[in-house]
Amino acid sequence: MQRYDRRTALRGEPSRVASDATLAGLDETHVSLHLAMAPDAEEAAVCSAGRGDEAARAWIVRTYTPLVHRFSLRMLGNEEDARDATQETMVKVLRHLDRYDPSRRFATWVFGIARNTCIDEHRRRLRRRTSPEVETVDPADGAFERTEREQRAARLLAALQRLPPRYREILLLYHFELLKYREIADILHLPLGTVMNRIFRARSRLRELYLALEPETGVRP
Amino acid sequence: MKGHLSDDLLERFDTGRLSRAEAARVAVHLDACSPCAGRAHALDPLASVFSAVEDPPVPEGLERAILEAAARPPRTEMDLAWPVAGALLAAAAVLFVSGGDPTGLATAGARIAGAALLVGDVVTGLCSPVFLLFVCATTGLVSSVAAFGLLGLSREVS
Repeated sequence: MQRYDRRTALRGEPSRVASDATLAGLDETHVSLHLAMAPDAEEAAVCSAGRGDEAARAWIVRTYTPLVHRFSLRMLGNEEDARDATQETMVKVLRHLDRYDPSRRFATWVFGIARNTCIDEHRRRLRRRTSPEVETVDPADGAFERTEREQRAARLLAALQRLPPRYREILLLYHFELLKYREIADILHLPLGTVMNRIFRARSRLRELYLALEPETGVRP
Repeated sequence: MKGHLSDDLLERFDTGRLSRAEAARVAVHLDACSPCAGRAHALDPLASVFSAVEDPPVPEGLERAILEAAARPPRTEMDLAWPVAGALLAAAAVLFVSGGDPTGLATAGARIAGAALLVGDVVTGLCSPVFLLFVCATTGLVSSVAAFGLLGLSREVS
């Protein structure tokens, strides 16, 4: 298994943009994806890939597969389905590069495809009914071996899996994929006000679920 | 919205105490203003927990599998042409061999095809559409030949 590191994912990128916000001491994780992608360089790479440039196609796969896999896994809660959804998404991306509208950020387009693929995969799974709807994470598993930070992360993932899909997807896109509100509205085909409303509700529900999973230690996030 | 957002406004935004229109205006500002976005992000009590979640490892060989799958020619409508042609030929064969009594055999063929589709529904997800069409066409052909044999036998007996 390859470990994915958000920062090393940009290693193969054609060029980078300096992050003023990082220099200002802000939450580096939150701003990194917003600022780290050089739109012109990415657009050039996507254009090259569309013309069949193997190196550019490999760069797209290397850069976006970890992001799509992470999103699919947390949407579907099942490694096998996530792998299938990731492969299907990335193949669609590579085959339909000519349909990409450069006025949108490439990541937004990719996550739009990933989201639709996850919805299809979820429906297929419901029809097959061969695997559980959600492979829930038991936050108590291995609790003794893990640090408090890891336990909190496990509880958060478990709480996310218990959220309705429409709440889960919007929180994944905002908190893990670090997309902007406007980009999320674009992916979900929703007005911005509705996106905000849904994020508030989703966060509120997530906090309830998270606290419900917390052991009686009085520790709060 | 000019300048940076006040703490009070961000707090009301974070707790959903703004109208949709106000929240949308704040969101537009946050999308364009990294310092305010960072401050809004820090207000969420679960933000630190989100950052504690590690990224899952990418399954080994997945990237290679994607590149290989993308390099293969995609399925086209032509891929479906042969099974459809097979089904049409099977139907034509049924009509041809049924002689003067096509109605009975056509009805039987339709029932068999319906049953085959039902079976196809059951195994959906296990087989590709191309394979299902192939199975339906083969079933139709075999059943029509069998029906023709039975018809001939019944004529001989009578």
